Amino acid sequence: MTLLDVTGLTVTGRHLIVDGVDLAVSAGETVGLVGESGSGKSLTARAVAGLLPKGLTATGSVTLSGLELLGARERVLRSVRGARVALLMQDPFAMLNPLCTAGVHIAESLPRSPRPPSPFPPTDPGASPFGTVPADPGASPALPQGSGAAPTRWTRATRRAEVLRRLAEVGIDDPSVADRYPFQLSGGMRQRVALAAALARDPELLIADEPTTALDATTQHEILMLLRNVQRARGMGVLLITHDLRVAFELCDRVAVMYAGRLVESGPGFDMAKVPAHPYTAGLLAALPSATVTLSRLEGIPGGVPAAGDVTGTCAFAARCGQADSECTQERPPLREIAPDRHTACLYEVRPRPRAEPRAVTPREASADETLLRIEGLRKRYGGHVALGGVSLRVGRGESVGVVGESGSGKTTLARCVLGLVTPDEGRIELAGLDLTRRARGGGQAHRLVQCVFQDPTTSLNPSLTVGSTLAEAAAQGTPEGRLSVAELLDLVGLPASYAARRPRALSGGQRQRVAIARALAVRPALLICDEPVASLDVSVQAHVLELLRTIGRELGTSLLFITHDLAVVRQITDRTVVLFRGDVVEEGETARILDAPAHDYTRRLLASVPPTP
Amino acid sequence: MAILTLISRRLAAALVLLGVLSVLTYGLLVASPGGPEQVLLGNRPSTAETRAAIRAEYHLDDPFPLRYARWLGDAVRGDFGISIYSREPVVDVIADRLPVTAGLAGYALLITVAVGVPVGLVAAMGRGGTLDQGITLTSLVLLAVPPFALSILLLYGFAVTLGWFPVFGAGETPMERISHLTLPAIALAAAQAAMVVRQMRAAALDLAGQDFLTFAKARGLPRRRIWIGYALRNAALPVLTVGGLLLAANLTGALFVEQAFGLHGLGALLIGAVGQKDIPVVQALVLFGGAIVVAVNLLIDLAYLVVDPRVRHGAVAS
Repeated sequence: MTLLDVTGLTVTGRHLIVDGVDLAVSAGETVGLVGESGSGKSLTARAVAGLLPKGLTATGSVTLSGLELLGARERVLRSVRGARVALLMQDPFAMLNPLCTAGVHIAESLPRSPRPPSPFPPTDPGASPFGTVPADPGASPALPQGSGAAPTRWTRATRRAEVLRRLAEVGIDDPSVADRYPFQLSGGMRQRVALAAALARDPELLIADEPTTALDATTQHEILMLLRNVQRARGMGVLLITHDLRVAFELCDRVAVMYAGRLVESGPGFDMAKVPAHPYTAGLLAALPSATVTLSRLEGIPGGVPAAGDVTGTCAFAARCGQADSECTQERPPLREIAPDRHTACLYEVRPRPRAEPRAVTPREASADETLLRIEGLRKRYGGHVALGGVSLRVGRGESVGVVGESGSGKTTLARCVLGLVTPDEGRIELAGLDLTRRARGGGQAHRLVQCVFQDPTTSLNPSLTVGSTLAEAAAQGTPEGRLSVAELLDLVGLPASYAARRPRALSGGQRQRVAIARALAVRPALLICDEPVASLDVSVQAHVLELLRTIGRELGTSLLFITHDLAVVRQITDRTVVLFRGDVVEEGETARILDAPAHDYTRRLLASVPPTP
Repeated sequence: MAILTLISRRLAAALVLLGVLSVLTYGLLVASPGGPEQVLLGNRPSTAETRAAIRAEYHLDDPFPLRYARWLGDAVRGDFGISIYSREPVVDVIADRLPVTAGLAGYALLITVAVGVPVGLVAAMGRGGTLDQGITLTSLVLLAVPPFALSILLLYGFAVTLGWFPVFGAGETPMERISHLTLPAIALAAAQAAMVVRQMRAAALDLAGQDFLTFAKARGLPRRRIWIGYALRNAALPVLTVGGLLLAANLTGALFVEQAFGLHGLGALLIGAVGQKDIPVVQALVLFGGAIVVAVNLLIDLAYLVVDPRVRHGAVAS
């Protein structure tokens, strides 16, 4: 039975954002809505929940078991939200009221009065991979038994017991969590609490908008599995919005791919992963880095996503498509059925892409023997928290070393120590024979030796400077001989020289990150530290940037210290890998060896949490 | 534990601040023109004998630290000496004037919060609409009008022409007091309410884009719960600071309004004391004002402890 039926959903603000999306979710089914940033997937979710930001209007039809939600009165919507449709959002750090405890969030979301026989028992502890066992047997299911009549009001005790039961459902068996404030909980815990609060009124449909994007790899995996278990136990419909095809394929029965505000392909995830029926999906799949094979070339999709309003009359993907012809721009290709329950908006059959060859794992050239960066026994404490507990590592000249770990593993502190932004408590950092631990930092030479590319290019570029002045300013810090001009720098990162006149605002995320890389390379550093440089980029762009970093490392002989939580990225770009866990190196060695045959338990856990690449 | 350290740290800081202030205040007497004995004599004829008597009475021949310590000891026990002008103990003079000013300040703060907070919220809710623009414009006008000018306008309109409120004085019975203080409180509160409106509007706008507000709506929470438990409580944090500072400003700086409405409050007392070079009274008022600012700030910090769990558990340094 169809639970949610979306037909011809169009969202308009100042421009067209979502352009005629059709979508259906049945009870007990998980549907994935996949797209890159700007595809309109999140606004589709918001429109379904009736929570579009101010200034945006939705037309078309959204029905929930026959009840039209679009244009419904606020009173109707309020009775539907929470009770029948729940929304789980992306950022667990922003989703909870900072002034209320976890328990209050759940308690306030509970129905007005207890429902007599609770329709959804907590997930069976045995079925949950996290061993959900209520900590306090007395505190668990607590609706008064045997009284015959259902209780009509919450009492303090029943409400509290219900809150604990709900927490147990999302895998939190420690009752004290109910009394903690969001800032006292980790990201994963917050997301669990938020899920419990979203489910408090037992909705039929859960819309999860990128619920794991802001989380660590292992936590991500746990939350996804939790979502799946809860969905199965409750027989609930789930609409999962994600940018990650792998996540969608792993979790969803059916997947719909959005591009420039419209659907380009839909069908069972399994089929789509095997034989994508739209060139865009095929391109996305090809751009996915793999944790199991090292590819000789990473293929992004050329160009950028057009605005939905600019491509209403044509195939939205035509401009970036390798097999587009004049037919494609004549009119908008309809979503046609190619097999039962399988649709594509492409006129043609997708030509199979030549899959990039796995790179022959060649041992690094002799130059890697020459040590560029040597770190010994690096320690740093913040109050009682040990960020680095004696880390030692070395990076050879021209070598690319990955530092892998989750948040709190100390990987960012390590980078900041090398950059001189943090003074370590103990230990030694030696870069090209220069002692970086000393205060003088080698007489100001350090910044010519080491530069950094940060995660978010939006905030790491000065918005009021043009790209040209940013690069010229950076280049002026280097030695005069062999100084690269702005045009040369732009050329180095594959941007046209005319971009020098632009400001960061006028660039896309991937282009900004290219500028940030050019800026870091402007002084021709011997070592480039990359702190999650692709974490905030879309897959198709990510592949471009990774490929760029790889080439630069090869051509300029720059060493890379690549900090990331993404094992697939590490696989593609590094020669050696260091695994950090709570401030200590737990494993170290050749990347391929570590990923193929991990020795440490933690590495194995990290690997297990990577969604399988189709 | 974190709370205790925080409170003790704040208390210690307050004490240090007051100590510094008291040294400066006491310095007023020493630095005054004609020397301390001339000041303490006031307009009385100064002969060598009276000057000697004053020097002896006030221990003016002792070294400065000793004199300061003695003065401080008295001040801590509530003895600020005798007013030169009225020949009454300074503390009595202040205690006589305090109720009027305190009433005025409290009344004004009440109006400020009662008007500023909801109006600010309403403006934020209808962002960019006619109502919002009207509110923003009005608050700008109120901020621009000086309090004494507004006082005169209010007096003319509501007291003289309409006759709804008394023109002069502070009244005797509590009911009279309220009606007497209404117009001054409005005059004082107008600009401050405008400030709170703008503050509240900014805070609420900031909140409107927050995920937790959307998430609260998505869970179908009742509107009252969202507005009070989510929007108001979170927006209250910055407003709390402003409100406290305004209270301190009202207690010490309602000069113009007190003058305009003929209220015998602390502001009027300060103007008089400065005019008459009544140094002991000025000293006491300066120290009192400083103590109020320090105390109010301490109260704000404590209020933060109550309202914001992040401060309570030491997650953020306030």
